[in-house]
Amino acid sequence: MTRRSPRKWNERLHSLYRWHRWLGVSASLFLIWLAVSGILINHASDLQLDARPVQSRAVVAQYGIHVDPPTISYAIGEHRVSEADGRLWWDASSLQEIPSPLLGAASLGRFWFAAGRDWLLLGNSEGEIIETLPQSALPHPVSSIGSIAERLCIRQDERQSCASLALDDWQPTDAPLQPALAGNTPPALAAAIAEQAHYRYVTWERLLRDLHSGRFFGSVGVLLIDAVAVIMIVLALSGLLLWLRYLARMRMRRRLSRKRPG
Amino acid sequence: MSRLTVLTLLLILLSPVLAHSSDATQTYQTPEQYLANVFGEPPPSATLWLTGELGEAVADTLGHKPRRIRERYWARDNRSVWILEEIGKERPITMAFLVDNGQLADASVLIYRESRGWEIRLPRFTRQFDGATLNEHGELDRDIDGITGATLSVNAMEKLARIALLLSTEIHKGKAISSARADDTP
Repeated sequence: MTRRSPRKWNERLHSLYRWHRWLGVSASLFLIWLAVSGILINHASDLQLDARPVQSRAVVAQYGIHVDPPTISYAIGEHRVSEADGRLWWDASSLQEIPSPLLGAASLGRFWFAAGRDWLLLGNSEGEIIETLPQSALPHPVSSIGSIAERLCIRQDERQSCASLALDDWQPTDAPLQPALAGNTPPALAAAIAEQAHYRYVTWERLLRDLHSGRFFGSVGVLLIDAVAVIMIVLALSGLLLWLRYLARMRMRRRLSRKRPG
Repeated sequence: MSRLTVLTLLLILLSPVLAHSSDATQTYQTPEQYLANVFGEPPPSATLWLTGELGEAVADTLGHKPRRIRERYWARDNRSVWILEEIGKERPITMAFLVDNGQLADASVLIYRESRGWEIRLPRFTRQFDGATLNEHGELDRDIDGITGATLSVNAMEKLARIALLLSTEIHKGKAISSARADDTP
């Protein structure tokens, strides 16, 4: 069996110590970032980071998200109702997700309504949703909408039904329907809706998670974070080795001091 | 045991989770089925406007303005059913609450659209709401044990349970603006 020379062993330890120090210094910024972002992700819900969109074109562009701006919309007084990205929009404000495409929207006094094949939504002039009805609450599917004498009406082929704003008194009718007419979406509004629709996809929580994991920078970022993780393992092991060596040295010193006379 | 066997077993064990995460929207019961289960022949629906103080109380409970300002409910005798929606993390969860004499008699998840947290539909979780009432602070009279990984869905269900009890109290107090016509809007 060969004995290790104490000098060589000490040199190796010194070298390990140097590596441990440099690795620690070079990884420190990453470690601080990982710790800070980790804490923020853990409390994302409390800090409402999961609900706040990142309103930055550069960030959204990095995700490659594309939303088509709405080409048609329906005029409700001075406002416009349109559909983009599977959602219903009141001017440039998102109202809610809709289960099928918008088929029309029309004013009804102080109120307005919009519908798709299997849903109907009633809103007020402040852009608030009063109520949304699913298909099961409608007398039949919808292919077009309009109004007759202050009643909102839905139509499919030969079937036509109208209700008051209470939405629970549907009656079949043959009276001629005033259909909701679509117009072109003003370009500025279309651009604003597209921009807001883009922002909906990237919340601060998502951005933090992707920065934390490195995914935001693609495969290079992931590899970089992997490298930092490996460095953390090396740091932990080398720190443990150095600590064990220190303990052994302390024990040796204590033993020697006990053996020394006086 | 070979690696392949271990991997196969792991996939089998995880398959329910994977199935749930791949197809997000799950309809466990339609609102009509729920109403039929509770009432047999459901009573006609009525509506309640979430405006004024009631709207503020609902907003306080939710932590944001209600997404719709008129809620529909079905009531007979001292029982009322509320079909409410709230977003867990990203998408709305449709839940039904049966309130009987001011106490929650049932809480059920009807449609779950989120990718995680569907476990809130399991009876071992929803049973915790049975008999719950509101205390003087407008909170549930009991602690609801959460589910790991479903915190936001659990929070959404707790909030909606409180709102169902609050709205049911309103209709029984007779203070509510129950309306059959939208032009009664306050």
